[in-house]
Amino acid sequence: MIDVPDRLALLPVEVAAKMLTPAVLEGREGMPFAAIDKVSTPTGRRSAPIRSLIDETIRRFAENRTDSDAWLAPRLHATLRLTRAEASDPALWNHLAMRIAPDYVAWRFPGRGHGEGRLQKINRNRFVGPFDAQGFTRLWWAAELFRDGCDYTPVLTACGHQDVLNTILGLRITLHRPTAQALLRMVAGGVAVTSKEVNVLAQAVNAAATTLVYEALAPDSPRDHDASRDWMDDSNGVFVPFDSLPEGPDDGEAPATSVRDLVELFMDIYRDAPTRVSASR
Amino acid sequence: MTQDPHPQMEDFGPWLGRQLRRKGMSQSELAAALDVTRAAVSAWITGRATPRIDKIQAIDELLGLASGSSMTREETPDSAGSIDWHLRPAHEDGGRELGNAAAFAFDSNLAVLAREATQNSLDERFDETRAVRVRFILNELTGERLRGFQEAIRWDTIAPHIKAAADPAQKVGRVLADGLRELHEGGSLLLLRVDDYNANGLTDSEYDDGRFAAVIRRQMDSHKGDQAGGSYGLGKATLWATSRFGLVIVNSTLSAPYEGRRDRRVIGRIDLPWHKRDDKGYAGPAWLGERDPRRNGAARSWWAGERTVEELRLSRSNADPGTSFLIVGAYDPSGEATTLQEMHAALVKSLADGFWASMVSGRGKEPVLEASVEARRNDKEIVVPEERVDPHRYQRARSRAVRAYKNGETVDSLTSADDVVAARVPLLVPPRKTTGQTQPVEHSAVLLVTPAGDDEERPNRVAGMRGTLMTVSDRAVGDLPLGAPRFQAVLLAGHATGINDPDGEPKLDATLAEEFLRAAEPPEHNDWKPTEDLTATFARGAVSRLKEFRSAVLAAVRDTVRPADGGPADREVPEALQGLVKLDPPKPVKSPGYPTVRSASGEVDDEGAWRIRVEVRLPQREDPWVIRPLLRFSTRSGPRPEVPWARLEPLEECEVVDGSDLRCRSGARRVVFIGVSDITGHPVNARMSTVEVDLMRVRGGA
Amino acid sequence: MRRILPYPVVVGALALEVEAVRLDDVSLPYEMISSSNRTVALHHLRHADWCTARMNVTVRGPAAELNAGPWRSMSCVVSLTERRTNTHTTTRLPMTSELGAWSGQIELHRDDHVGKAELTATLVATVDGVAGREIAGTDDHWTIDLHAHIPVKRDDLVTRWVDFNDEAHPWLRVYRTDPWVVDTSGDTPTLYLNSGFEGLRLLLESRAPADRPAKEALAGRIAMDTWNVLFDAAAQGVRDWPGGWRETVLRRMLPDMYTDRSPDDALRELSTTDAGELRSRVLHAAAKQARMSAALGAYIRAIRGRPQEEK
Repeated sequence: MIDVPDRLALLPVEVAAKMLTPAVLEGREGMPFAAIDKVSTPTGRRSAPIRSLIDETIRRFAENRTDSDAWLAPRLHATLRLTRAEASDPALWNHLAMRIAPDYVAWRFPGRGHGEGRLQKINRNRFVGPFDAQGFTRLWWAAELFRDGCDYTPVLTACGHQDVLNTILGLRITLHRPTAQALLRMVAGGVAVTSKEVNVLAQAVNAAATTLVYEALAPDSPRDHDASRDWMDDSNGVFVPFDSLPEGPDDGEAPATSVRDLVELFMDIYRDAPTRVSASR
Repeated sequence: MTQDPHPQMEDFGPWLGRQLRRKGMSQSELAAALDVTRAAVSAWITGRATPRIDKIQAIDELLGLASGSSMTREETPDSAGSIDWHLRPAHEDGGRELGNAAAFAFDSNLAVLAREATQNSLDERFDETRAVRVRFILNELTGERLRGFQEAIRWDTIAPHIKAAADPAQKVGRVLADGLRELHEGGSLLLLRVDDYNANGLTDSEYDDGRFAAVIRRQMDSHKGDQAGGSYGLGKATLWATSRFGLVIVNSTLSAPYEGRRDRRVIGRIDLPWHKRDDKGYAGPAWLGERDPRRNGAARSWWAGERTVEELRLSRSNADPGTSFLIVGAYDPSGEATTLQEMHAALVKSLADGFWASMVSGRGKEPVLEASVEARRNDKEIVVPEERVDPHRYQRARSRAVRAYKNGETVDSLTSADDVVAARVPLLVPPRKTTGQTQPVEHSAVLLVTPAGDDEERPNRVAGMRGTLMTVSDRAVGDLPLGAPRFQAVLLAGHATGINDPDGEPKLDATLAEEFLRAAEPPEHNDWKPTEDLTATFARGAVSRLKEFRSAVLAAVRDTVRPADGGPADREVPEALQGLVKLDPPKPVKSPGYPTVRSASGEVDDEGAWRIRVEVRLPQREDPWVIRPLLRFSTRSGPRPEVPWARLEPLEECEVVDGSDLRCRSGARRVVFIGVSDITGHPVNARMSTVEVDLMRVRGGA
Repeated sequence: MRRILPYPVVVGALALEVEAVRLDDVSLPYEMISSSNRTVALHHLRHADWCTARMNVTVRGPAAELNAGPWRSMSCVVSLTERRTNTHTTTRLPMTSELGAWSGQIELHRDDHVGKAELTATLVATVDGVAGREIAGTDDHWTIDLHAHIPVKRDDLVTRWVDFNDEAHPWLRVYRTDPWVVDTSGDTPTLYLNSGFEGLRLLLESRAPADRPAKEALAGRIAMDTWNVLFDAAAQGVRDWPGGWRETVLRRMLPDMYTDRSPDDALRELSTTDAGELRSRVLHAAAKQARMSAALGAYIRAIRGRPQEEK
């Protein structure tokens, strides 16, 4: 069991990156906790709620770790209540991955061994990396970008398919909420299910986005930032349930008509996509 | 001022005086003919007495007028032949003024004309609560209309003199000769009419000091220096200078009656050099008007009828006082503007540049000046419709600044692209030497600063104005703080601040500042700097006060545009390193050493495939280039999927090898081919896609 | 890159202007908006605690062309995008009475932004019966910089004077004997100059003419090291253009490394070039970026010339 500090802290990228030596990534050496504690700046956030969430994840999904993403993402988001501005600072995530829960990273992303008898090396991006690769940010941002207002259900779809998470999370078209919701609805509705289908759909919609302005065709409604703030200010007194879906910030849903219009449009684009047709022949 | 449908009958006295002058008859001669005393006639003319009815009838007879004319104050009809050109005989001493027409020597162009004429009109503003309206009308006459007009201006009388004066050996003579040739060969004559309304008009007597004489008689009296006619200075010469013949006809509506009348005071004047005709010498100038029997060769203005001014193209558009100058044979002396359109544009630009501030109006108020320019052919045909010069179009930022000031909408600091900041700049006006005063008076000039758009050609300048918002100085502001926005600034000083005391009169400090700054202007009125006038008129220290004022203005401008948070603390790049570690994208290479796509265009064919024509630029090389064109579908983000070609069709200087590569002819600098995409590889329907063509060098192709 | 579209698009330029900014309800001084730099600086000391920035923007297209063209139901949207916060907010602008102009207000929420946001405009229309087509976009985006207090473009890498011995920067203590260090782990690469390194700052910021050759040779040396490190960071595992500063570094250096290859070909070439060969090409390109030969040449001339002058 790791001796976890009370508070989450900020671990600057410059230091964190230098601590991820091959020996550490291959598990030959442990994380230099003392060094990390020395250079980290504690925040006001308690570490216990996150730590218990991690423990529960590892316990529940011991047999099938990829399934844990859909469970953990909404709960991580509801526990670690951050603005996008706060979430964009890698220092918090570095500390989370390297100091609070390196065991989770090692468990979830064991890495590939290179040949017989070689040690398994964890991809350094899982500790310090881009938002769609780092062990925790990929889940937090999936929850942030794919939730529909306070409803985390679409997040389950997104994180339930590794292809969706790997393909769609990095695409900039999904920063437009109705586009993201429409794509997830098609996945949830069985239009595109296999890895190949999801890829064809995403690629067709991403390519058509160079001529069609989804943002103009299907406008989003402004998010209610005050409601988000209220939800965040609540963060300390809230108990995040393990067995039912938590509630996200009630900052407004993507307009239903916009999502419906885009589903219709994407169905046409997908149906017409020659790569889909030729693949199904 | 509206036109009275039943104009009051003119008083008998002025009417009789005029009739006598026309006849060249003295008061004594009339007295003798009527058998009354000279004193009686004098009493009639001055209005102290009225003649008996029998004497009135006798007067009609004596003056050769229809019976009853004295009662109705009728005139001898001006078409009866009394109106003609009257030439000044050559000087008795034989002096010849070949350059008499100073106007021709005046280095002039249409911009100068517009500026001088309009400044005169502004100076002669009549009703101070209303705008002066100036109107420039270009009108080109040909054919029947040209002949009609020539008749009206008695062209046949003056033309032989113009011809006689057209001595190609003299500068003035060459201009005249050119003018005559243009008229004969081109068969057209250009008239430029310059009107002002709500101005004083040419008031006062024929020969004595006053506005009329200043314009008509003292035209060339530049050597007299003293400008007797109020504001009509040398600038009026530009009117004559803009005529190829030095010929201008004038119709004025007077703001104050002369001889009891106001409307349609008409006279023409031509400025020719000395010339000889039929062995008789002429000094040069000539007047179109009534002969003045008592002044050898001179002519008087006459009160013309409606029809006459119409024939002269001098009908005024309303009864407001002011003057219409008709420049006959108008042209641009600089030769820059030749067509009606170009001349129109030159006039509009000059008006906008010189008078934008006077044309800006506050909310619900008239501006000081309204100006318009139009161009026609043969009176009716519109060549360029009347354009009311809009200061906000030509001087966007500065006009906005002045309008905001007039509307009281200035702010203390800039927050938007439309904001106008007003700041006070003190000017200590030293006492005049002549007064016993020793203390300077402080005047607060107003500095206006507003952001300038990207379209402003000359940003970051301050325009200094006084008086009726005339621009005196226009200077660039240097040493601007880092991060300052582009701006335009306007400095209002003296009367231009428009700050009046409770009686509506300008405050004393404004008037003193006005005088001080005027003394600091060189004759061109284009700057404020130490002048002889300044040091001669004002007490010691005047030059220092002026310098302080100028630097206070620049400091105030810099202060206004200085970014609030001050220094660039976060830019720590040592100077020596600057430029060596820049992370901006590199400039595109002009002639790269590898094949590049010079142009690519295409469309989606009926099958749904992209059909693209590509032109490739090749660098010089002896070995043939082998290239592989790659077709990619664009995406919003992430990788761009590559799509195979269904076929490649070489068009110029290349052949297809291995199905997907192009071998270029050796030595070719440019190859062209058409590529058709393979639909089955499209990630999306082509009609929904954007595509790009890249070139890949084929390994071993070198 | 020449893009080919299957329908007619607007040829004339689309101009985007930010005319005024309010932080909550306080107007920002206009000098914090720079039209020529296309930048808005939002960091104002007196109004540090703002939540929402509201910007008045106007978009102008080529009126005559828009009027005559085949585009129907035109509309105009502006987007505020920041990659770091995954935020992309789009606002539709109402049309103005001026032909081909749209104007309105957009909001930037501080909770959603942290560094620089890009502001772009897009014209959308129905073309040949297809709705929502992009027919024009702004060539040059505006930058809304939350940290700047003057509106200038800050595209240089970050340069900081830091005492490497200082407790505040523990990771630099390892390098405390070094004059400079380049760090590429963050969002923007940073060059740390060691102010604790005796004489470094004195020489680098000297204004004495006599120091000039040495100063410039030193600056060239620092710049060359910097480009070296930047290249390695940018080229690591790269297959397609990486975007951001990494792409800029590659696009600046690759043409000098492979003079007869197009940038795309050069990028492909990277993975196949032998390591030693690659290193010498990188050094060459870094020296060119740092304008090393001129600085070093002048320095050599200066130190060799001096004794002769003294004779």
